[in-house]
Amino acid sequence: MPDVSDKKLLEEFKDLRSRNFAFSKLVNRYQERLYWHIRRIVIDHDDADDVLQNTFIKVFRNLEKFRADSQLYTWLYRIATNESISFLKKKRKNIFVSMDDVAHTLSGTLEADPQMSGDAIQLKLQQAILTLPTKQRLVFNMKYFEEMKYNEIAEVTGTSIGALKASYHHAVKKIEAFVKNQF
Amino acid sequence: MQNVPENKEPELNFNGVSGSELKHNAFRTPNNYFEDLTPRVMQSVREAGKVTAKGPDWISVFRLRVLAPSFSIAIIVFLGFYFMRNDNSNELDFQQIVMTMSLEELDLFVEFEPSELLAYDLVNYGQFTLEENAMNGIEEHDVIEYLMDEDEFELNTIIDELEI
Repeated sequence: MPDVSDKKLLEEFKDLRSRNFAFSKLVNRYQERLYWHIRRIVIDHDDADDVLQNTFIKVFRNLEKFRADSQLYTWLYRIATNESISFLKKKRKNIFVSMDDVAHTLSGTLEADPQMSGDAIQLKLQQAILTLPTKQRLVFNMKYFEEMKYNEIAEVTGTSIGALKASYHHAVKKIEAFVKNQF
Repeated sequence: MQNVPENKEPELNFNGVSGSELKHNAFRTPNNYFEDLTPRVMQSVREAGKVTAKGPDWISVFRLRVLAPSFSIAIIVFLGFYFMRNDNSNELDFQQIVMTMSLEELDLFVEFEPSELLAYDLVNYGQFTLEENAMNGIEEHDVIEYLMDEDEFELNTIIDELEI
C-alpha cells in the first residue's frame, strides 16, 4: 500500500484541477532516486536523462491505473527499469551487437565519461558490475547501492525473494573475483 | 543459499577498501541538474500529451488501409467482369454504331479495319442495295482522267492496275 503522502498525491492527481501540481510534486519527490537507478543501468548521463523523461511520461499516462496494491515507488522503479532495458535493447539493435557487447560498450562509456569519478577502484567496481547478466546487475544495484529490501526488489523484478538472495550472493562473489584479478 | 538471512548478506570487500567507500557514488551529474529537472520533465509530459491528444488521424488510416484496397479490388473485379462479358453484346453494339455512321465515316473506317471483318459487319443487304450496272456508262478513259487529278499517282501504276 502506498504511504500516506503518496496516497494523497494519487488523490490529487485524480482530480483534474490539481493533476499537474500533484504530478510535479511526485516528480520532485522521486526524480533523484529514479535517475540514479536508471544511470547505473545505462551508464551515460544523457541517456539516463532521456530514459528518465520517458519514464515520467509513461508514469503520467498510467498513474490513474495504478492499483495501489504495491508501493508507489516500486511501481515507479518497475517502469524505470523497463524503460532502461528497452533503451539498451534498442541500442543493441542500432549497433548490431549482443547484450554482452553492449556491456562492453557501456564499459567503454564508463572510461570515457566526463561525468565519472576519477577514482580507479570505483571505475573497476562499475566495470565489474557490467560483467554481470542484466537482471543480476539490477538486483545488485538495487540491493547494494539503493539499499532496497528483498521484498521491494521482488515487486520491481517479479522474482522470488529466495532467487534474489541467491542472485545477489553470486553477484558479490563475481565482482570480488573480477576486481582482484584487475589489481 | 536460498535461506541466507538478510543480516548475513555478503559484503563487498577488496584491497582493504570499506563497503561505505565503495558505495560512494562513482557517477556525477552536470551542475544544477536536479534543480532544473522537474520543470523540464513537466514540459516533456505536456508536449507528449499534445501529441497523444492529436492522436492518429483515424479517417486517413481508414481510407488508406481499408477503403483504398477495397476500392482497388472492386475495380479489378469490375474490369474482370467487363472484359469477360458475352461477346454478342459487343457485336450488337458494333452494328448499332455502324448503322449510325455516314458513308464518309465508313470510308474512313475502312482505311483502318480489316476488310474481311467489314464484309460481314458493315454490309447489311437489307439496308443497302448495290445497284446493278453501277459501273455502266463509265469508260476507262474517264477513270484514268479522274485518277490523273491525284498528283501522287503515277501514270504507269494506274495503267498496271487497269491492265491497259
